[in-house]
Parts: sequence; C-alpha cells; structure tokens
Amino acid sequence: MPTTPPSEAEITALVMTRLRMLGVDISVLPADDPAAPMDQRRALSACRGAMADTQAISRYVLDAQQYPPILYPAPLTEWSEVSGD
Amino acid sequence: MTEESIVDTDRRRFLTYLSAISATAVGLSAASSAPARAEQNTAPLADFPGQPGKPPTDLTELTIAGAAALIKSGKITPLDLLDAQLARIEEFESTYQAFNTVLAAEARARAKELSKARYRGALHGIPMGVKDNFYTAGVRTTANSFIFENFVPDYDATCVARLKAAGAIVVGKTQMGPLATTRATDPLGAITSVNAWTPNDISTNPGGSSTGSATAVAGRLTTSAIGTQTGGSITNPANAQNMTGLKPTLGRNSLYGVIPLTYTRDHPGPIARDAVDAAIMLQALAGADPNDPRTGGLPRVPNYLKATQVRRRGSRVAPPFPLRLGVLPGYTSGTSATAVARAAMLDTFADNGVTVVDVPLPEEWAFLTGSAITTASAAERSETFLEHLRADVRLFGVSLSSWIRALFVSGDDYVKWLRTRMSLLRKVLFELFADVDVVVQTSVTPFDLVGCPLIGFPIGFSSDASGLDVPIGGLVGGLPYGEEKLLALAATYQAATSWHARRPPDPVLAPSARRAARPRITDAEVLAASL
Repeated sequence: MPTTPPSEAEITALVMTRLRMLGVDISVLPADDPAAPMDQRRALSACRGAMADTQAISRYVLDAQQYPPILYPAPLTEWSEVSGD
Repeated sequence: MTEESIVDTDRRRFLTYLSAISATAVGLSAASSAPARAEQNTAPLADFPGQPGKPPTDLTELTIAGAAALIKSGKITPLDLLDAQLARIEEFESTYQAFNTVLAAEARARAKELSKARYRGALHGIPMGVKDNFYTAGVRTTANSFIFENFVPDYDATCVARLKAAGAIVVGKTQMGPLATTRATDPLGAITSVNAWTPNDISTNPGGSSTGSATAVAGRLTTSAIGTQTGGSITNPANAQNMTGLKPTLGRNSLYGVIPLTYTRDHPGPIARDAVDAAIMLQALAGADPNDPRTGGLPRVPNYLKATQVRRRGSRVAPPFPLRLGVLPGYTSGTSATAVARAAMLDTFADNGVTVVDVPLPEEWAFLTGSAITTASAAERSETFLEHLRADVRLFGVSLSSWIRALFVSGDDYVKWLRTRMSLLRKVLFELFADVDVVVQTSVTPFDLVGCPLIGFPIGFSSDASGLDVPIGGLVGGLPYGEEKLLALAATYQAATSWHARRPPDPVLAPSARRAARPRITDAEVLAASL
C-alpha cells in the first residue's frame, strides 16, 4: 500500500531525534553562518540528504541467494591458518 | 605462461579463497593443513643492483633506483641525498606546504648512521615522506584533524616500520585532506599543499587526499612517499602531479597503525617517481601482518622488481610476460588533451608488445558504481568516529557533513551496499576481465569499491589557463593480487616514453605571496569528494 511521503518538518524532527538519542549535539555550531566552516543548517541538510540519497539502494532488489556480503576471506584464512596460495 | 593462463590463475586464486570460506564454515580442521602465510618477500630489495649512472648535479632528481646504485657503490651517502632534499625543503616548503612535520634532525641522525652501516638494499638511506595518518612512534600523527591534533603514537604503523627496517629515512609527515577526504587542507578547510606543477596557482587541483605525499615527491623534497586510498587518494594525486601511484589489492599492505577512514576500502601504497620505484616500495611494504587480519591467507608476495624488467626489442620494448590491456568504450572519445593522450598511450602499448583489446562494460556498471549506491557505504565512517561526534561535532571542522550524514544510513541499506559490491566484484572478475589481464579506468570508484589494484602513471601534459604544463595521468586496474601486471604495464610504458622523467620547475614566488592566506574549500566540496 502506498505511503504518504514525510514532510520536511517530519524529516527534520526525525534527524534531531536520532541525533539526540545518539548524544550528538549540533547546537554548538552557529545556526546559519555561511562564512563558518560548518553550521547547523548545513549539518541538518546533510543528514536529510543522506536519507533521501539512500532511497535508490533501498529499492534495489538482489537475489537473496546471491552475493553474501563478504568481500575477502582473509580473516577466515588467517585465523584458521588456511593458505589461499 | 600464456595470456589466458595468467588471467585464469588470478581467477583461480580468488575462487580458491571462496572455497576456503566454505571449508572453514564446515569445519576448521578441514582447512588446517596448509599453514603457509603470505610473509614479506624483501629478498629482491637486497639483490637489486639499482640503475647505474653518474651522480646528477642535483641529487634530488634521483629515483630510488638511481640513488640505490650510487649509495650501494659508495658514490654518494644517504646523508648527501638527504641534505640535498633538506635544502630544498628549507627553500621551497613555505610555497609547497607539503609537510605537517619535518623531522630534519631525526632524519639527519638516521642518515649518518646509515651512511656507516652495512648496505641493506634498495631502500638503504632513501628519504621518505609519510602521510600524516600513519602512526609514527613519538611523532605527532594528526590526519589534519582536530580529533588527532595532539595524538603522539607510541609505535610505528606496520608500513612505516617496514620501510624503516628496509633502510628508509622518514623525512616528515605529509599534508592530507582532513581525515583523508579532500585535497590537503587544515581542519577548517584552508588549503595547504599546492600542485608542484603550478605552485603559484592554488586553484589547480593537486589531487587528494595524499596531497602532501605527491607534492613532496614531485617537488623533490623527498625521493618517495606513502599514502592511503579509499576514494582515489593515491592515484589521483599521482596523476595530478606526474607521479606513479599504486593502490594495491585490499590486504596486500597492512593497515595496522593507520587512522581508519573505512575498514573495507582503505589501502596504503606508494607514490613514486616511476614504476620501478613503486615496485621497490611495494616489495618492502607487502606481506602478512599478524596485527591486521586483512593481510592473512593471501597469495605469496611475488618479486615485483622482476615484473618491471622490460624486454628490449631493437628500438621497441615489451613487458616481461604477455599482457592483454582492455579498453573501455569511449575511452578516447572527444578532442580534449586527455583523449589525445589516452589514444597515444594505447598506440604506445600496441607498438611495444602489449595486446590492446576492446572490452564492453558489464550491465548496470554505472548504477552499481554511482552515488545512488555508494552513499550507503558512509556508515563505515560514522561507526568509527561516533565517539568523536558525541564529544564535539566541531572537531570535524569543515568535514562534518560527510560524517554526520552517515548516521542516517540504515543497517539494511549498508548490508545492501555490501551485497551490491559483491555483485560488482563478480562483474569485474568474470565479465570485465573475461579476456584481459588489466583494464584502463576512467574513474577510481569501481576498483576502490571492490578492493582491486589500480595504478596511476603519467601519460602527457596539457596547458592550464596560464600556459603552465599540467600533467595528464592514465589509470589502469588489475585483478586481485595483480600488482605485478600493473607494474609491468607501467614499466613498459615508461621504458618507451619519458613523461615520467619530467620534473616541475622550481617555484618562484615573492615572499609576500608565500605568506598570503590561502583560501578555504567549502563543506560542499568536502561532501562531493566523499560520495
């Protein structure tokens, strides 16, 4: 069933809630100062952007029997003294 | 060995590892009969004769191979070489800003010791720059971040320890993008290192994040250097500054004692003057490290120096073994200086014993390597640095966006990204390399994602707006543990061309210009470099 996209205010509230739960405080930054290296407005924008930017990968479907997420078996061979050569 | 069997051997090795996983899952005892590990193989360094020649007027021009022959024969001492470079540092470092820390006194003391010591091999007495994210015992290691501004490790990173054990002298810690992201800046984004080819024009990108390492070698402040690559940070600055940069396969070099950016995509490697020097460096660096499980269970370390011994055929050269170079669609399209240089590079290879063949891009290539997918990889960053985000977000300076946003990548998206990376790896191994040993690349992203090796090397020059020469670099990728083939390819090209031998002119800047404040990069630029 289609869902209603969240509003900007809801996304901002989600971001702020997550940051507070993690104990990350962005209030120490200037609120909105383009001349500063970083401000709260840009930090929030980056967080909202991450959620938007991961929509494509969240919708990408892979065969559940393919591509287990392990890149190289080095730790297994190292810790079990298996040589790959 | 035939061309086909070379490709098959690499693929077979990889499949052996996959089968090792299965064996381990069934029972560890089934896979415990072969305890061999990919130990270091430094014998080729001791045996290396160097590249004989007369001492040049300016010792800072020397490659490692050239200096090795002179040091081995006693025509120069390590102190002679070091002092020549320290003199350049004294004269030009205020312009280049390649270093965070220069260890002049310590380096001179070491050079004096080595000048009297038994010859150790090709790296004996060779001055070296070390990116400031490698731990150095008793020396500040900052990663150009407020987080580590007062961090003084009590041990050397394995890579640093191995270079020192081989006789190299650490001249200093080189500038970098904060936490290994952008071109070199201070933590608030103020630009530091310049491109050695355009020292007056700070806007010319010197490549990042191992910027200072490339600037130091290009500017002849040191003979060679090491950097790290997660998203092009060795090969990009090497390409930008006429260097040869090698990003080895994940696990080939130890990451123990390197400040992490990610745990699955960081790769330490050399930034050198040519392929032979890169081979010397890799020979010293590569091999299993008990402190880094990513280095275990891999193929043995080969003789990289042997791979750079090209064959002479009259006026032509050829690689030491057959090589098939794959060319991606559109690689030479257009009329830009880069397109022209790429076409000439392919002609050079074809004329000098390399088989050049077209290869198609696998399906979904752009999607799987694009930011729509790779953005989910950011979770690796936030996990590593969460305690610092909690402590004070201002510690991240201009780089905060690319770390704090990672807190909003969900666990399932991250796992999906790991699986898409496996999908991409399979396409690399079985489609891209179906019929070739090495493949040209136009972006670092695909091979950085899957951990396969890349080499960047000079292929020409273009002119910037001021008429100054700016290097053009080529980029070629290989199969896992295929560094030999990449080095052989680059060595063959460099035996047939001389781009790599060109050195930038000395900086000429008024003292007032040297002291002028340098502009800052923006957080948007940092974020763009992070995706």
